[in-house]
Amino acid sequence: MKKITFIIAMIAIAFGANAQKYFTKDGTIKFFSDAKVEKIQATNNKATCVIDAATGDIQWSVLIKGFVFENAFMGEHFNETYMESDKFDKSTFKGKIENIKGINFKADGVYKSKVSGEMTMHGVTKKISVDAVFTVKGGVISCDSKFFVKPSDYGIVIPGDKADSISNNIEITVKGNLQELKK
Amino acid sequence: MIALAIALLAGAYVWFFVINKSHHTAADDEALVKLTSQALYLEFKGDEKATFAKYKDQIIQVSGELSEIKLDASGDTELVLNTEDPMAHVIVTLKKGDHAANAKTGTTIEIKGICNGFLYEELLETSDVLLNQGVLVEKTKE
Repeated sequence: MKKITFIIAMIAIAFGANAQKYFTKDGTIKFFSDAKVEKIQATNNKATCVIDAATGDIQWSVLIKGFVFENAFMGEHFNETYMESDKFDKSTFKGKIENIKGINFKADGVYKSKVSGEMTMHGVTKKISVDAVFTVKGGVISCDSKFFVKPSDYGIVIPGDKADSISNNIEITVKGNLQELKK
Repeated sequence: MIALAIALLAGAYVWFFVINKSHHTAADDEALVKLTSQALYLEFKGDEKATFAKYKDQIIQVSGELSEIKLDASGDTELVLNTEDPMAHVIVTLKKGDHAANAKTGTTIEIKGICNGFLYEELLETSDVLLNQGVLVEKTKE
């Protein structure tokens, strides 16, 4: 009898643990460079995001070659000259939702929190802390954030003759609609 | 006068064929390799770095069971192919404007796409090979 109770408890814990996770594989990451000469933007709609509601862990992953530009020429430069995506094929963020205890993922509402952690891009890992908004509606968690990164912080060199074409402060917009993980 | 004409022609060439060139899609060329979704996944799982070096930016033709059809945030159609591992998939985003209207989930399809790489998500324990600019090759019957 004790054995059966133990097994049921373990199954309940396992299901409980899974129920605490939310994810999307169709998250969107955009970047926007607003420089003197031109504006450049690119979008990647295949970002993966996972939130562990129990621990506050949050992770984003994206393949660099998946960014789509207005034209192929811009994409080639982005991949070959700046991001060196043959060598550094993905960018990741691993961090914590600081106000996780203030978010009820089961109740509709809008919750704000700092998200802090480590972002890896171009083979360089840096600590960042950004503002994020988590909107819970009908069981779907929308995660939104906007922040700026300096290419030079991640070892991305912009040659002098391109200084007027590429901003040294790139706007990153992150958006994902996360569903509860059901196994 | 001739110099001006040459300069204009050169400018037009750069604009049309370099700066404004359209995106390369899987419809433009033959595939480098034809394989199943399972074989592609196993190659990445076995040696991600070497497999990425081999297939990055290349057109790959993949066959597999279609498990899901959906639209991404830009309205592009995305086809998800199963592998033998329920936690691993090959995800192909079709080139803009293609919708694979005849593709049906549960059937085996063949599709070409340009390889972007492999994502393993440790919190989910899922693996995905991502291809974009894809085109449906054919649909075989159930």
